[in-house]
Amino acid sequence: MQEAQHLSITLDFSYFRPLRRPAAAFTALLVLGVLLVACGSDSAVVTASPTAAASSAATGTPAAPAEFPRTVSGSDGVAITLLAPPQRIVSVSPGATEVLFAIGAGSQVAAVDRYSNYPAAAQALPQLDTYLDTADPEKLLALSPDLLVTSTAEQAEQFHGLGVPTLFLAIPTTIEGVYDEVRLLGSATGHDGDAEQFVAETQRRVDAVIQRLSDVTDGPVVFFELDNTLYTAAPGSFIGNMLSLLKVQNVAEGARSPYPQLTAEAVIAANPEVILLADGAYGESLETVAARPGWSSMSAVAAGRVIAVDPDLTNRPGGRIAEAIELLAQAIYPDRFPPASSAQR
Amino acid sequence: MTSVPGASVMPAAPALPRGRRRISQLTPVTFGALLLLAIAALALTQGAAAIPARTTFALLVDRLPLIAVHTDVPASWERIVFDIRLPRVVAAGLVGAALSYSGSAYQGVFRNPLAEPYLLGVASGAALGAAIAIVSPLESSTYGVGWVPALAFVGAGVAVVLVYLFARSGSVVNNATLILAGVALSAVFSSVTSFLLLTGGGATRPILSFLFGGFNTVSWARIVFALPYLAVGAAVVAIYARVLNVLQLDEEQAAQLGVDVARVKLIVLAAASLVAATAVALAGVIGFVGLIVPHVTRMLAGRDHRRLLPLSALFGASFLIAADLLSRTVIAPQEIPVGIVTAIAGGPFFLYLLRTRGADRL
Repeated sequence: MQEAQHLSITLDFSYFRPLRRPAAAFTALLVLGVLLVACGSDSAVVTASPTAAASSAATGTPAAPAEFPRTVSGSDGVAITLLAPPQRIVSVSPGATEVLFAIGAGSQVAAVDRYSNYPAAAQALPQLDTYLDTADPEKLLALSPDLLVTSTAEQAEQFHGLGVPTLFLAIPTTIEGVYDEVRLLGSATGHDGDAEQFVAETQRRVDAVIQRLSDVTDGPVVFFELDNTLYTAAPGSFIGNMLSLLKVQNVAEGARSPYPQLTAEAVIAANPEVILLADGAYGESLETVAARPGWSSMSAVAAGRVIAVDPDLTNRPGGRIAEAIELLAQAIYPDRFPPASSAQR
Repeated sequence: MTSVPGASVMPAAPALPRGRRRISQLTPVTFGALLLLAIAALALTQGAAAIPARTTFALLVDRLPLIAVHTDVPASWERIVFDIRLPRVVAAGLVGAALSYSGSAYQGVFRNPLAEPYLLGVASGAALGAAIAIVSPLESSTYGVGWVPALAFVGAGVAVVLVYLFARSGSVVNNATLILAGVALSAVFSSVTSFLLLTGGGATRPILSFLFGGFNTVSWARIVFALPYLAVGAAVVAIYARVLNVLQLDEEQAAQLGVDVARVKLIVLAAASLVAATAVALAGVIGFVGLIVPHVTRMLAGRDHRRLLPLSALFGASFLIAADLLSRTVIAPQEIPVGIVTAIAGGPFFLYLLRTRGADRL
C-alpha cells in the first residue's frame, strides 16, 4: 500500500490550481485501475525477484513432482507461482509449442502464435497474429491465459506487468539449453516425469548419432545457408551447435555473431564439401547455387551435394531436435547414415 | 545557411580566371583517375581469401589479349578474382560514380546543399519495389538480373514520376514543392516497405540486405544490364553541364539569359534520377555517397559543372571501392553493410574538410 500513500501526496498538491483537479482525478483512476489489474489475477502470484536472475532455468524444478502450488522462473529470473497446473496456456514460441506437445501438455494449450505449425494438433488451435515475434497483446489478454510462454523479452515484461503468469524462455543456443527448457516447461505444467522421459529419449538418439561419428576427426567443410544473401549460422547459434556436434568444419567459424552474413569470397575460398539450404522454400536449389558467379567449381556443387533441409526442423530449438540432428547427419554423412536406418522410431 | 530550396545558397560566378582554368582543368581529373586506379588495384588484391597480390595481377594480365602469363593456381582463386572481386570492384566503382554524379546534378539543379540523389524518392521507391519482389511468389534470383533489381528500378521510376506530377502546377515546378513532395512520398513508400518487412516472415533478411545496400551478390550479368542506363543518363546530364553553371545564378536571371529553366530542370532531374535508380537497383540503398562526395569535390575543385561532374564520378568511384574493400575485409569472413562503412569512414573526413575549408565554400 506504499503506492496509495504516495498517491495521496500527489493529490494534495492539486488545490494549488483548481484546473489540475480533473487531471489528478484521472491519474488517480488510472493508477487505481493498474493496481486492480495487477491484483486481479487469482490463479498466480507474480513476484519479480532480480536476485533470482542468476538461478538457472533447471533449478526451478521442485523436488516433489506434480505438486502445486509451485514456483518456477524463466530465463529473465522472474519467479511465478502457479497455484494449479495451468489449463489455458498460450504459447507464442514455436519451439516451446513443440515441446509442450512433446511432453504431453498439449491438451493444456489454449492458443498459439501463427508460426507454431507443429504438431498438427497445434495448428488446429486458435492462432495469434505476430509482428516482429510479438503476438497481438489485446487478443492475447482476451484469451485470459493462466500461463503465457514467450521468447520475446519485451512481451514477457509487458505481461509480467499485466499480472499474467509469464514464462520467458530465451531461445536456446545449444541442445543442453533445449533440455533445460523442456524440464522447465515440464515443471510449469506438471509433466515433470514426461519431460525427463523426453530428455532421456532425445539424449539417447542424439548420442546414437554422435556414437557413429566417434572415429571422425575432421568432418567435411559445411556451409549452412539461411538465405541467398549468404546469412549463415556460426558455432554460437543453435544450428552451429548441432553442426559442431556433427564434427563438421563450419565455414562461419570465427565469425563474430551467431547469424553472420558472410562475404561470398570467404565461402568460395573455404570450398565447402556440403551446402545445406534452409532457404529451399524460397527457391534456392542445386541449380540456382551452381548458377551463382564463382560457385560452379565448388566441391559441393561439383559433387551435387547441395541439399535442402527443412528450416522448421533445423532452425527451431524445439521438440524435434533428435529428428533435426538425424536429418543433418544423413545429409552430411550419407554413407554412415543410409536413409533406411535413420528412419527409426 | 538556409535549407529553403530555391534560395540561392551558392554564390554565383562559376567563372574562374581564364589562364588558371586551363591548367587546373586537366590536373584534378588526372589526379582523380590515378587515385581511382590505385584504389582499384589495392581492392583487387585484398580479400577474405589469401591470394598473393602478384598472383592476382598475373591472373589479370593473363586475360589481356596477346599476353600469356603462366599461372599455376587453384581453380577457386581464378573464380574468386574474376567472378567475385573484379565484378565487385567494378560494381562499387560504377555505383559510387553514379551516386556522386547524380548527386552533383541534383545539387546543381536545386542549388541546395542538402540535395542528394534520393531526394525525389529514388531510394524509397526502389526499396519498395525490391521488397514487393522479395515477398511476392515471383522467382527471385539474387545474383542474376531477376525480379528484385527489375522491380527496384521500376519502383524508383514510379516514385520520381509521381513526385514530379504532384509537384507540378501548370508548367511551373517549384523547387520547394518538389522537395516536399519527395519527402512525403518517400515517407509513404518507406512505411509500406517497413510493413512488408514486419509481416514478411522469412523474407526479412533479403529486404534488410537491400536496405543496407552492398555488393556481396553482384554479378557480371547485372553490371552489363546496368551499363546502358548509366551511360545514357550520364550523357544527358553532361550535355547540360554548361547550362547548370548558368542555373547557379538566380533562376530569373538564367531565364533572362535564354535558359528554359523548367525544361532544363525536368531533363536533368530525369537523367540524374535514371542514373541513381540504376545504381540502387544494382546495389541497394547506399547512403552518404551522393550527398558528400559532390561537396568534397566542389571544395577541392570548384563549381564549374563541366569539371565537377566527371570529378565527382571519379572520386565517388574511388570512395565506394575503398568503402566496399573495408566492408568485406575488416571482420572477414563476415560482411559489414557498406552503408555503415561509408558513413563511418566518410563522415569524419567531411567534418574535417568543413572545419578546414570552411562552410562558405559549400
